[in-house]
Amino acid sequence: MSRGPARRRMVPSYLAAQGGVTPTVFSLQPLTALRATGLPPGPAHTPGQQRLLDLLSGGALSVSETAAYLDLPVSMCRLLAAQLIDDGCLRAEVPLPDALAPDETAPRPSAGLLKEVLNGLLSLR
Amino acid sequence: MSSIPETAAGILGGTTLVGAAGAALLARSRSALRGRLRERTAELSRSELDVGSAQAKYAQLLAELRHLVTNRLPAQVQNVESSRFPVPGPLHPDLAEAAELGQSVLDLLAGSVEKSRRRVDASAQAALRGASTDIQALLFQLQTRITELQMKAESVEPDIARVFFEMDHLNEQVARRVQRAAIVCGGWPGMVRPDTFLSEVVSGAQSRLAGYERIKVTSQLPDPRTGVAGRVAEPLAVALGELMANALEHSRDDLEVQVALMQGDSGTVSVVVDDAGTGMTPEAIRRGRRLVSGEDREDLLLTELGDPPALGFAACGRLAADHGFRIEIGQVSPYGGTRAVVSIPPDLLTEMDEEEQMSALAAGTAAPPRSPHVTAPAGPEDFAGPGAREDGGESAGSPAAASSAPAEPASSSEPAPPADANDLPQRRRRNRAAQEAAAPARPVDPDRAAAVWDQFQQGVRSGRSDGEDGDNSENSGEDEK
Repeated sequence: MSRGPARRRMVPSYLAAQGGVTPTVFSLQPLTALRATGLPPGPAHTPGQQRLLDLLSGGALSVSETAAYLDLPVSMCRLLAAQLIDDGCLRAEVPLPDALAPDETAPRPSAGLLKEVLNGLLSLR
Repeated sequence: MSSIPETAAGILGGTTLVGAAGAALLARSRSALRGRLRERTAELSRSELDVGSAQAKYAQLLAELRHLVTNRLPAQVQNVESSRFPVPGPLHPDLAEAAELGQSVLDLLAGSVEKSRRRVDASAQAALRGASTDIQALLFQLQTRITELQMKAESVEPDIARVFFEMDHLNEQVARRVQRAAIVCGGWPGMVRPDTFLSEVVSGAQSRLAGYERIKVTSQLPDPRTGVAGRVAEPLAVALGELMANALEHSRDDLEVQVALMQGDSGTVSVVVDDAGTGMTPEAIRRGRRLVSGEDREDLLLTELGDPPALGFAACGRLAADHGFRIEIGQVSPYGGTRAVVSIPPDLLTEMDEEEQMSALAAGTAAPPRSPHVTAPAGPEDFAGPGAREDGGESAGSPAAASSAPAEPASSSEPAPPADANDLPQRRRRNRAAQEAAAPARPVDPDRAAAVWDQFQQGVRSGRSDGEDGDNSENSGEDEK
């Protein structure tokens, strides 16, 4: 039978939760910005949560970005961040693209335009 | 007629003589007869004695045979399985030949029972090994699917996300059991790994167990970049997993299992697993030590491991003996339970490449030399505390500035020249970008690139000529808007 590319990764991402993640808040979106409040992690926090706090000690990041940096599924980062928000170590802010817009009235590039640019770039390959 | 009486007298005398002689004869023959009778009687009593002793011997032999069949043979069969069952000796050791024959029967029986036992066990092991290999491969595939699902599910309900993670965990536990069975049956751990951080190996082992959240790992390694050679990464993970599982199993559900990583002066790294359980009985320690030593791993029979077979220590022993690390069990932990120590000699250790990133979840990453970017921003201008960052974000009005700031929090965001030499390889962002770029960028064909740029230039040229030749209506229209 074919063994294929299947192999067992050494550290699975569910380990981040250490079994005990039951956040009360769960409104985080992948683009929600996370910002550290400066409260240090407690002893009960898992290595994954501590790494998340470490990562955010340099500034705000979106949930998706933290997931990419930590090499974790976004859903796990949402769980971890929600728990840390509960514990007061993190603060969630408006999703980044909105925050990045200089002001509410400034028009953002339309999806159509972005798609055209993407197509152009892809056709260059 | 005077002759008649003479004759008669003569006859009478003769008769008397004859009679006397006859009487003497008779007397002699009677005594002879009596003598023979005595002899016969003696003979008879002698032969009666012989018959008696023969009967007694016969009875002894019969008893000996009965003893052989009813007591010694069954005991010998049991003795083959375990030396705990002694084989009784012969009833009458003075019957030397019978005792010898009996012993040879027993030896023959023991030999053939042992042989068939090994044959049956070997085929059971082969069957289990074959089945495990296939199941293992399928479980790895299942794991890949589950991981894909986790990665795709960005904004599902938390309950569903949690189910994905639980499925993953269940799958890992099944994989561990299957893998363990395969190893005890002489299979290999099922995969080749690259060199791996020791902390990752420990966390990986931890992740495969039910109740892994009770395991607390502390790393006291002087160098957090200590790794193990790829060939022992998986075997170590399996062995550590089994030892931790044992610790979890033998301690109460609310007790922690402490795992410590430390390096001795000789360079040997030890992973110490301490539980606070009830400890092991002397018998269990003796047995466990024999198993984890892996000395008689080739003679190991599944049937010796109990029902259901206790595979953990046996798997540990095989792996340790095959891959050159050492396992000790049976010491008393500081918490009153059992201590298990895995010693990894320096020749199995390696220092990981600077480019390798340790998993964010690996044990001991929160130890004093924390993740690289925390130690990196030594310069005050670089260390952006929450307040500082907020100021920066607000003052930098342009989206570009704001987006670049949070995009590189992992290290010095503006390249800080002095610290760069050490810090650069540790920057996750850079690595990630490099990895992603590396894959598609490598097969660049110069001719194809030239063709692409040629087309681009042609396009630009034709666009310009169109603009020059054609009307300016488009531009003017744009202006009017």
